[in-house]
Amino acid sequence: MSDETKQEEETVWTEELLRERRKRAAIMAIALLAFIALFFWVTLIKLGANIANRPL
Amino acid sequence: MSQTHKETLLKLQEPASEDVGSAADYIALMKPRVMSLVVFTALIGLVMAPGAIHPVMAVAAIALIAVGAGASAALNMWYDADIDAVMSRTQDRPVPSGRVAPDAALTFGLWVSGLSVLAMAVMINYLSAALLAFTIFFYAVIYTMFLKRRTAQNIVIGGAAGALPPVIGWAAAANSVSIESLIYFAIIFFWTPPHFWALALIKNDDYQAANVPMLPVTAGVKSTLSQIVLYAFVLFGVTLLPYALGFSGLFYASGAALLGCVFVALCVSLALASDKNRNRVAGMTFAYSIFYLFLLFVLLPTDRVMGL
Repeated sequence: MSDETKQEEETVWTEELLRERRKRAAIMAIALLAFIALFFWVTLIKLGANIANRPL
Repeated sequence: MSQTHKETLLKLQEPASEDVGSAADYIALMKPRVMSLVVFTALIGLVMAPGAIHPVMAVAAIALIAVGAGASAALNMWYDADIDAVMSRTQDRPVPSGRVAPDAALTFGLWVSGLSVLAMAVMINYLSAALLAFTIFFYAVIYTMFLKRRTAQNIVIGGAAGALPPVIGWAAAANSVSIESLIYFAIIFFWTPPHFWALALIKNDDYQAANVPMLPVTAGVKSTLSQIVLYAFVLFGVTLLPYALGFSGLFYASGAALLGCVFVALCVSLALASDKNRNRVAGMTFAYSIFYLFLLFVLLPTDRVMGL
């Protein structure tokens, strides 16, 4: 493949595409934060149950 | 900082040329409509299971089942991009339309699959994690890579993957697999063939063009119609099992019988329809099948609440 053809196939990063990309990164960050929060919450629930039900 | 290092850093900050998929494209990659049915049936499995599960853990379990199902859908779209590009129904999907690169879809599917199973094991229990892993494997590998392009029984056997979510939901709450959850599995398993074949009749030209051996392509329309009627009758019997085995009451049984009669009548009228009307009746059968499954799974917990 010649350099010219390669150049033609490369994506032109318009302002709109970059905006979409930033939006995607923000949504991914929110999803990750939600996952971490859920993980933390479930840990607290499991920990609480184990403390309540421990042999005395 | 050396010139080469600076150049490397600048290069890393540039977006990869093929990676133009938006958040909406990645959501589409997870087949949200299929995911909604998975979430719903898994929720019913979880609600119907004996024992109490903390509401936060229930939300976590359902979310992880949804994400796992979405990840297997992404793997399916990665592998099937070539046939999706040929069929009118699927050619606008993110991979065949070029909005998401095949490698990106594969990476996304693998990471999200792995994370959902791992999180299920840590947060909920090992049994539901194992069932989720098996479901993803069955859909992405057994159905997508082996069955779909090889046999007309593709959606019959492959339907097992779509039928497992209520079993996973049940396992998340009760940490067991029981006869009841297996009956929920059987309901979806026997519902899948008439549901998909009704669609395959409408999209027969597409499947033929893509060389996918769906039953109407390999066995012809007449044989498909008799199979649809046969499965509708079997499904009718299977939906009455919760009542026959004493898990559900008369409210469920009468609702399931009524809904089942309508489905059987639709399938029979599809089999008897003229060539001119067939696509219209197939469309009605397909639409009703979704409504039918939804109502069957609504009837199960409603019957328990009513205690008839």
